[in-house]
Amino acid sequence: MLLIIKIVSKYQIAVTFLAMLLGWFLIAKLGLIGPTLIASPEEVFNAILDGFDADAPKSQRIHIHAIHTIQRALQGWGYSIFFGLSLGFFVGFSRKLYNIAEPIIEFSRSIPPILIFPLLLVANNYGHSAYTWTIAFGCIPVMTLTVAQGLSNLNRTRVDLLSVYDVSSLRRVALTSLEMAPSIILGARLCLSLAIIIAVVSEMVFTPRSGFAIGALARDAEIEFNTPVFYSSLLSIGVFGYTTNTLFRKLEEWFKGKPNS
Amino acid sequence: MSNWEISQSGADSPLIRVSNLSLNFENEGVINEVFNDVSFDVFSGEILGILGGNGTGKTSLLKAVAGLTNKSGGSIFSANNSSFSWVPQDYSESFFHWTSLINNIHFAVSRNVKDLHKQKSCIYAVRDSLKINLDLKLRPSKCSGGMLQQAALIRALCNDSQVLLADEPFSALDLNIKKTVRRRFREIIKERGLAAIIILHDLEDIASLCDKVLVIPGRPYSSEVKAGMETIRIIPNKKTNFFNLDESISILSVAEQFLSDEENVIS
Repeated sequence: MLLIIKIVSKYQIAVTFLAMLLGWFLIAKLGLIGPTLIASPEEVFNAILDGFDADAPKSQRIHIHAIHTIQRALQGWGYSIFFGLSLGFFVGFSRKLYNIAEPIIEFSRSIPPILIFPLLLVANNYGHSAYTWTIAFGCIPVMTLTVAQGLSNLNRTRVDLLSVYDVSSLRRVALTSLEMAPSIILGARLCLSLAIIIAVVSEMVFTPRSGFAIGALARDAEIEFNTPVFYSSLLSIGVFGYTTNTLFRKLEEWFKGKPNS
Repeated sequence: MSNWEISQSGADSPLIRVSNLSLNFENEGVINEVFNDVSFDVFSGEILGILGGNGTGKTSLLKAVAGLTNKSGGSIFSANNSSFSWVPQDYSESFFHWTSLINNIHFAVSRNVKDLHKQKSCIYAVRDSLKINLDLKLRPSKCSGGMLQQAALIRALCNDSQVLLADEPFSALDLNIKKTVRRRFREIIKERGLAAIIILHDLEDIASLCDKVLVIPGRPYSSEVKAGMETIRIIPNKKTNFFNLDESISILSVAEQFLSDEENVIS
């Protein structure tokens, strides 16, 4: 019993995933939920593998759809990192500026980005960059506020210490930026999750059947009751989101320094 | 750093001269006086202890000398633009958590020494000289409060500053380490001719470390406690509120008496 507890606590994440997989397998196999609502794990994995076949129809090439969605999300995320960081540093340096900018940023944050999509579609000549800018519109306020708050909450003792020890300006900027790293990473992590959500939702609403997009694929699969493809699209985007989120969390923890306890 | 006025030092001139220093804080339009008319000199190789109750402005005084808080009046002279080192009261907050103690110390001391290897060996030399047994490769998050305070002491003595400011630098050390570190701390200050201003609460620390003591009496805004300031002014130097530790036993007992009286008044 003690050995089992030891193994479970050591490989907690792997055990959780295995338990989830087993639960999913049993629910599907025992028919606790009907096949129109759930596909079995084998059906889902087969659907993903079939997509790699060169002769597979477009609707089954799940990995290509996923790559397109991830590409859009990453592009929009990249824009939001660039603009959010610049704006966040600019706004965060002065309390007065922050107080002026905060209501504007909060207001733009409360607008659902998907509402802006039609406008951006026209502005971008009905091109694919409308997706990128929609994602950026949703993420920039989040990144800006996180960075600005991180800057205004910099540890006073450490800033004072650099001043008393007369540390050179260049080094002071470098150390302050590193000191802000957890806030920047937190903003980047939140933005990436948001970018994936906005990408998928905008694809579900605006991407035609002919387009490569995981949101559109999931929508069409659900309409056609093609549950294995629907679940494989969920799984592919879920794995990407979970992996990147975990990596960012680890990086954040490293910068903060995990306490002894 | 606008608090300082720079003076040329002679052999008998102080490294730090504080004259009629006052500090006020404005809170919602109301000006609160923290302290008023504080004057002292600190010479090379001299250790000034600052003693006083909670909320009397000891840390604010130290920060004003360091140029971290704007003074409201008076002047602070720093001879030959002296450089400073600092042991902050919240020493555990003074370390960057994403890197080791040695790198943290290195950031603070590396301005004038270009050779990285030389810098690091200098840091280890100070550690050994203070008789501190501390693994400097540890990250701050893996250290106890006492270990971080030891690292803060090493950092304060690793550069070539002329003025050392320390705010309760032994508060987290256990008794065994404290006695040795305190003795070595004093010896290094004397050897290097630093001017040290140290806030202390422990009268034993004062007696074994300081050459003179400045007592900041009472909590601010308390008329009863302000009356206590007069008590201080009559011994032994009427002009300033200094105790000279040449008469350490009697003066410490007076200081002890003063602090206990003050606690009584406040309570």
